[in-house]
Amino acid sequence: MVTLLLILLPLLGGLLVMALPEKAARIVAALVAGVTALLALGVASVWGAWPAASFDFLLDWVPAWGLSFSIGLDGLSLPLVLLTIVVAPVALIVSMRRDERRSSILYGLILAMEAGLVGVFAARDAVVFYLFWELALVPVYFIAAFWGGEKRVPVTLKFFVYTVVGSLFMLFGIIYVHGYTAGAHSFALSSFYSAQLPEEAAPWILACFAFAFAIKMPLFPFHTWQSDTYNEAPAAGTILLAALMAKMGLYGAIRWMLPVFPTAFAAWQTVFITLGVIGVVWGSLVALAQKDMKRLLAWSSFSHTGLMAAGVFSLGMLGFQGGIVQMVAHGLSIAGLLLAVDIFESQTGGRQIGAVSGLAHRNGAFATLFVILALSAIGLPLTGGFVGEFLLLLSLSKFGLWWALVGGLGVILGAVLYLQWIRKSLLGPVPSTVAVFKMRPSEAAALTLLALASLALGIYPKPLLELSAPALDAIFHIMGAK
Amino acid sequence: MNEAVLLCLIPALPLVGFLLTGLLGKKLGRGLSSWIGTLTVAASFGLALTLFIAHPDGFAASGLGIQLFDWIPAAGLTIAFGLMLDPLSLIMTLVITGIGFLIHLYSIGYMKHDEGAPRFFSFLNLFVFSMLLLVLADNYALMFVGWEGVGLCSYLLIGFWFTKDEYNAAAVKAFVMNRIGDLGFLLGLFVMVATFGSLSFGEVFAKAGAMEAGAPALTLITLMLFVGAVGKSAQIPLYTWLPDAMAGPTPVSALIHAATMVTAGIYMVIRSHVLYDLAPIALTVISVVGLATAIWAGLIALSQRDIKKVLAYSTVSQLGFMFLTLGVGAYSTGYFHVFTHAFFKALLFLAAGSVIHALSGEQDIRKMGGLAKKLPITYITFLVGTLAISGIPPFAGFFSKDAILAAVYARSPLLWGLSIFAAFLTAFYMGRLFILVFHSKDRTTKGVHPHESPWTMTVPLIVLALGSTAAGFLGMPAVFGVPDWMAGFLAPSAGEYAVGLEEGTEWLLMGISTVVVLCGFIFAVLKYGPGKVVPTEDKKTRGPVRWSLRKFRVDEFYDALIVKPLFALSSWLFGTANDRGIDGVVRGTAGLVAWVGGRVRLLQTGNIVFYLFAMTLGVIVIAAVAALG
Repeated sequence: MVTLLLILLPLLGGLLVMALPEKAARIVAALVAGVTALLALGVASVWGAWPAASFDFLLDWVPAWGLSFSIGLDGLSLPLVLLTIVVAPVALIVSMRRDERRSSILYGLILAMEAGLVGVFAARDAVVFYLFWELALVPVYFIAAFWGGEKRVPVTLKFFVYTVVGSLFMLFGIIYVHGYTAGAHSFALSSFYSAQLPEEAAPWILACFAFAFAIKMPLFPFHTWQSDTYNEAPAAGTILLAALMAKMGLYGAIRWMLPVFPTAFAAWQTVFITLGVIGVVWGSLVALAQKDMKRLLAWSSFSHTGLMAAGVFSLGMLGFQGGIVQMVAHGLSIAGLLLAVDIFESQTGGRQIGAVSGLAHRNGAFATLFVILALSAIGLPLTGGFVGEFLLLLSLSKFGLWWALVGGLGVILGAVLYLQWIRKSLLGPVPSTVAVFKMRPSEAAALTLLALASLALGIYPKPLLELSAPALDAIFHIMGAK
Repeated sequence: MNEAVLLCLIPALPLVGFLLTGLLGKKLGRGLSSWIGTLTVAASFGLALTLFIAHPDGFAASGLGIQLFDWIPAAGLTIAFGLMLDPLSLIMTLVITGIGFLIHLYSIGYMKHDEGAPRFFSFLNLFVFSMLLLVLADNYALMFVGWEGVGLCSYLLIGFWFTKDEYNAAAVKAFVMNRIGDLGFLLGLFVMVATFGSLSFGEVFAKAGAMEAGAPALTLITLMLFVGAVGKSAQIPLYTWLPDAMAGPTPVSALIHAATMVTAGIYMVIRSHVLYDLAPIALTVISVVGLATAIWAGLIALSQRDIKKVLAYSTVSQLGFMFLTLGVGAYSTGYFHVFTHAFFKALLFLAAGSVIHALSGEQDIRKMGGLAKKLPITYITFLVGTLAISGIPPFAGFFSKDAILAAVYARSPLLWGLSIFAAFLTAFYMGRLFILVFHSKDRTTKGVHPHESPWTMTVPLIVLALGSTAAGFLGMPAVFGVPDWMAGFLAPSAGEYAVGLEEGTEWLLMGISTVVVLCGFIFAVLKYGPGKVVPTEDKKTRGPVRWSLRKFRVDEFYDALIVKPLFALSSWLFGTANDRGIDGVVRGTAGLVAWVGGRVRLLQTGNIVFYLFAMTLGVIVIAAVAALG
C-alpha cells in the first residue's frame, strides 16, 4: 500500500497542481514532493525491520491473461526510488526560479514523471512495467518540447520517436515472453524469470529488450539523441533525463533482461561489454570537444553510463553492486552539476565554457560545491563516484584486464575534462563582466545537499551496499539457475 | 590514553584543522587560521613522538592497528577503514608531521600578506591528512585514498594562486599525470584481488610468501603498482609535472618534494617489498627507470635558470637514486635517502623561498647574486642544504648517498659508475645554484632591497639545517663501527639488508664518491665563481647546453605526440564519426521508414505523440475491457 502511495501521491498531486493557479501550484507541488520524499525516507528507515512483502501491492487486473497490477520494493528498486525522490525536488527548484510560462503545468509534469519513475522501479508485472515506462516518458517529452530551447521541436521529436521505437520492440518482447511462461501464462516478474524460451528465438527477443534499454541508457551507438535533447531541454528536463531517466535503461537490464535471458545474453556478452567500453572512451573524448556546459555533461554522462553498462554486463556481484552505487552516485552528481550549470547560466547569461571565467572570486561556496560534485564525477576516493567506478572496473577486470584498462581510460579523460572545465570557468582572473554571482537559498541548499550526499556515499557506502546486496544476489541466483 | 586512539588522532587532527580553517576561515581570520593549521600538525607530531618514545622499536614487536569501520563491504571483498603502525609507517609519520609542521610554521610568515591564507592552510592540512592516511592505511584500497588525496591536494595547492591561468594549467597537468599512474595502480589492485582475494597488507603478504618467485601474476601486480609510483614520484616518463608544480607557493613545493607526495611511490614499493622480492623483472625495471631518471633530470638541472626549477629537477633526480636503490633490493637504504632528503630538500626549498621573499618574488638566478651578506641565516642554511644534497661529509646526504652507492656497487659496478656520474651532476648543479645566488656579482634588480625573513621563517630553516647535518648519523655504514640504527629499525617492515662488501672496498668507494662530488662542487665554483661572466642570453646557448636548458623538449614531444592528436581525435569523433557516421545511419533509417510510410500512407496525421497516447490508452482499454469481460 505504501508503494502504491509513492506512485499515486505524485501522480494525483501532479494532476491537481496542473489545475491550480501558479502561486498555489508552487506550494502544493513542493508539498507533494516533500510528503512523497518523507514517505520514501520512512520506508528506508523501517527497511529490514519490516518484512519486504509489506510493501507489495497486488490487484488482479485481467486474470485470464495473468495480468495484475503488481508492485513492490526490494533492495534494487529502493535505492533508485530514493534517488528519484531526491532529484525530482531539484527539478522543481530549478523550474521555480525560472518563472516559466504556464508553470503549474510544468510542476505537474515533473510530479507525474516522478510517479512514472517510481512505478518503473516498483513494477513486478511486465505490462505494468511497460505502462510506467511510457508514463515516465510522456511528461519529460512535454517538458522538453514546450519549455525547451530554440530547436526543441525537431530535437525532442527525434528523441521521442527513437525511444518509442525502442519501447515498441520491448512491448513485442514482453508479449512474446508471456507466451512461454509456465501454465496459464502470466506477465508476472516471477513467471518471466522462469519462462523457457525456445533457444533459437531467445537472442532475438533479448535484442528487443536490449534495444529499448540501450536507447534509454544510452549505450553506444544508440546515443545520438542524447546530447541534443539534454541541450534543448530546460534545466529541469535535463536533470530528470540525465539523473533519472537514463537509469531506467540499466535498471531494466538488471531486472527484466539479464535474469530472463541469461543464456542468450552470455553468448553476446562480449559485444555488450565492448559497446559499453567504447562508450566510455567515445563519450569522454567527444566531451572534450564541447563548448557548451550542458553538452559536456551529456557526453560525460554517456561515458559514465558506458562504464556502468560494461561493469554490470561483466556479470559479477561486484559489478552489480558497483552498478547500483554508481547509478545513485552519478544521479546525485549529475543533478548537482546540471543545477550548478543552470545557476551559472542565470548569473552570467550563458553557459559557454570560457565565456566567463574566474567565478571562484565571486562565490567561493559555489565553486567549492561545484568542485566536490565534479570530483565525484571524476571518481575521486571518498566520493560516491569512486566506490561505483572501483567496483565496476574491478568486475570488468575479472572479465578481462584489457577491458578494464580501456574502460579505465575514462578515469584519466574524465579528470582532463572536468579540471579543464573548472580551470576555464571557475578559475582565472577576476571576471570583469560579472559583478555578483548569487545562489538562491533553495538552490544553495539543494547543491549542498547533493554534494554532501556524494561525499557521504563515498565515505560510508555500506548501507547502500548492504541494502542492495540481497536483491542483487537473488537476481544473480536466478541467472545461475537458468 | 589508549594507543589505538592516539593512532586515530594522528590523521584526525589535521583533518579537523582542514575543516575548521576551510569552513570557518573567513571568520577566524588569517592569523588564527594559520596557527590552527600549524598547531594541529604539531599536535600530530607530538602524538607520533609519544608513541615512538613509548615503543622505540616502532611497534615491531607488539604491533598496533585499529579497524574503524567497514568501508566497502562488497560481495566477497570487504575493504576496511583500518589504520596500522609499524616501523616504516611510524618513521614516515614522524617525517610527515615533523617536517610538515616546520613547513606550516614557515608558511605563517610566508603567507602573512596573502588574503587566501585560511584557504592555504586548510589545503596544507588536507595534504598532511591525505599523506598520513596513505602511510597509515592497513590495506591497498585505503592507501589509494591517500594516494589520490595527495594528488588532489597538489592540484589545489599548485593552482593556489588561481588568478593566473598558467598556474592552473600546471595544476591540471600534475593531477592528470598522476591519474595516468593511478590507473596503473588501480589495475594492479584488480590483479591483486584476482590473485589473493584481498587488498589487506597482512593477507596479501602472507599469501604472496607462499608463491614462487617470478610468478606472472606477481610481476604484473608489481609492475602495475610501479606505474602508479612513476606518476606519483615523478619518474620517466611521467616526471614533467613536478618541475611545473613549483607554480604553487614555495612552502607547497617544500611539502610536495620533501615531506609528502613524491615519497609516496618509494613508500609504496618498500611497503610491498614482499611482492617485489618475488618479482625480479619488476626490480630490474625499477632500477633502470630510477637510474635513467637520476641522470636525465640531473642533466636538465645543469642549466635551469629558475631557482625552484633547479631544485625541482634535483628532486626528480634524487628520487631516481632512491628507486635505483629499491631496484637492487636495498629497501632500508632507499628509505634512508628519503629520510635525509626530507630534511635537506625541505631546507633548500624553504631557503629558496626566503630568497624569493627577500627579492619580492624574483626567481631567476640570473637576477640574483651576492646575497650572502644580506641574508646571513638563509645563506648559511642554504649552504648546509647544498653540502648535504651534494653528498659532502659529514652532512646527511653523504651517508645516505654513500649507502646507496655501496648497495649499487654490490649489485653491479657498471650501475655504480653511472650513479657516480649522477652524483657528480648533483654536486655540480647545486654548486652552480649556490654560487649564482649567494656569491657571484650582485645582479639584483635596482630598487629591490633584500631583507632577512621573520623568525617564523628562519627558525624552520635552522632546525632543518641541524637535521640536514645530523640525520645521516642514524644510518652510518658498518665500517665506522657504529650500529646502523636506520636499517635495524626498519628491518621488520623493509626486510633485512646488508651490503656485504669488504671493509677495504667500502672505504675505497666512500673515498671515490667524496672526491667525485668535491670535484663537481669545485668545478662549479670555478666555472661560476667571482669574476666570471655568468648569465647568458637564451639565444647564445648552443649545443647540449641548449638541449638541457630546453629540458630536452620532452613537453613539446608529449604535446605533439599525445595532447594534440588526442584533441584532434576528439573533434573528429564529435564532428565526423558521430554526426555524419552514426547519426547519419539513424537519420537514414528514420528517413527510409518515413519514405516507406509515405508510400503506404500509414502515417495519416504524422503526430507521433498522438500515436503513443493512442497506444498506451489502447493497452489500458483492452486490459480494462478484458478485466470487465
